[in-house]
Amino acid sequence: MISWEYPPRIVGGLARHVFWLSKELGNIGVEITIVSLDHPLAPMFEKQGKNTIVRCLSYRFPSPDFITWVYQFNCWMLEKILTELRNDYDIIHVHDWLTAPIGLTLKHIFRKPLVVTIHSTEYGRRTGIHNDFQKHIHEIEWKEVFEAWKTIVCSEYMKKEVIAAFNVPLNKLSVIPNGVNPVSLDQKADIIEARSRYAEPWENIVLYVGRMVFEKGVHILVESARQLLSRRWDVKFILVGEGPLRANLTNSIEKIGLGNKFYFPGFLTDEEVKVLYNICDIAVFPSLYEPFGIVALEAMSAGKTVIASDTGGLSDIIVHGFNGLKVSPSSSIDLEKAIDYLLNHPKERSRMGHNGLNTVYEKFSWKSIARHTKKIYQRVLEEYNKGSWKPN
Amino acid sequence: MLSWEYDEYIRSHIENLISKLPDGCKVYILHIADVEYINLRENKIHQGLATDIKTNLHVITSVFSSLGDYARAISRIKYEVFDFDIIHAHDWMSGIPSIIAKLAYIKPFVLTFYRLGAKNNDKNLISLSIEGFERYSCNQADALILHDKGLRKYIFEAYGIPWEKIYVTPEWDGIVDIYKEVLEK
Repeated sequence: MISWEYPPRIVGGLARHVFWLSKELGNIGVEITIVSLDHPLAPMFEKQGKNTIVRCLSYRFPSPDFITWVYQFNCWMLEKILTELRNDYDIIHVHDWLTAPIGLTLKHIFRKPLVVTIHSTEYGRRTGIHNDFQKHIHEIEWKEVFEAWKTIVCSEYMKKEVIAAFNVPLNKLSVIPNGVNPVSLDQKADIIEARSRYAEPWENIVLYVGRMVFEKGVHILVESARQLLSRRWDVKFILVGEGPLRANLTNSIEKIGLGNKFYFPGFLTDEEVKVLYNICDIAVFPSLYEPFGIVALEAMSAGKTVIASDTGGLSDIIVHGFNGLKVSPSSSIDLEKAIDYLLNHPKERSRMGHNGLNTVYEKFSWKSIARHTKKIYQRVLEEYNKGSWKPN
Repeated sequence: MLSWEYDEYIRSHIENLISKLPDGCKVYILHIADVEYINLRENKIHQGLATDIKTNLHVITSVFSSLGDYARAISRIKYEVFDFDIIHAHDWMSGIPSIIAKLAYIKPFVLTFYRLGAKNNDKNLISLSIEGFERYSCNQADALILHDKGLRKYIFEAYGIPWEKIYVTPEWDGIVDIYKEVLEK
């Protein structure tokens, strides 16, 4: 399994995905070797349970841009694989475009089947292809999907997006959702103590977790909050995450005198976010583009009611009125009404939160995701073994 | 034989090299397919690679986006045509896929430079990156074969490549002996 990030090197959600997927695959008898990049706190070679982690240098000489750096580390990772692992594996599994050249090269040089997971596409991330850098990434993504024996996507929404963006035959695509680990706290006392650090006892906490970027729709939440706070004063908004929109949003809130009703803690550790999921009353995810929406599942696993945009993977996860509420993407009025409704109906909030927790346990555990992935590996190997495309 | 370009200049060099090889020696030439296909001699096989990636920002992105195509072509030669003995790359760009073939199939890898990025006076992040890949290719090569002594001195000094790993032969004279020496090592 090849990924440019793996704990403790965490850039986005991919590191955690690869960590938990490989761990659970290891527990059901699939031996995984993870090839990733270095980190000052991690050894270059490591055994974790049944799995092996091989790390490579991420920097050797200067690069003019991000893509060139990506290709440089692809070169060092390939060198490491070819010298240390050689062809001692049955399947090559790469995630996203950043390690695509490695996957394509190993596939052909040793004639091994390639499985690709597309977590998001360049087309979707930027709502279109606008410059040559993006076009290059888009074409690498296309090639990776074209060459893959099977492509895994995390939601029905992503399946449609990948078909539309790359014209992939339907039978090459499999939908396996992301997994989530429950984030509920063990002690009720912890929750009461933690809550008092963030809000007054009479205040309801509305939580957002995600990058402060346009595609996450955080600006829409701030607009809804502004409208809501003009009518009721018993709400505190906690918006966790870093990004280019953060400074603008905090400035605009300060200007209109609502600074004490918002808290922007920036980037927080997993443990700190876990506490916030547990102390909040409602979790809001107003994304405009969301391939999956793992943060919504995390909030649900704490038994909290989620309000999410009716878009992307969030649409697959939320059943409106059962385990959360869906609102029109980019509608601050809809979002404000939904928050107001849940604040006024605590019993409904509790019912939906309970249903959300069940949804997570039934459909989104890493054990279940690993079982699905193992089935795909087995199917790919069966097809490969029947075919004639092999080294001889 | 791997090359990135296959223009008149490179072609004349490779034709000259092939003319110095004994009869019965098979040569397979791989390069990016945007030039005419020409069979050099009856026992020489020639193939251009077609890459689907069209938007190449600069030479480094071009090289890596075509790495899978090179790997496919190299494996087809190895598994379907003949198991080659030696890999000879004619620039750092084809040096990268040659290193892959060397490491994957445990074959000796010989590299020829006609000019160097390091000698370029216009220093920027792209040229520094190219220098890095040139140095990396030199380090991975089992032998460097050059046409002039000046370049040998430069590679020795700029890239710290051992003197005895660098051969100089202006007209490919003694190429068979160099190949034999590399194969023996």
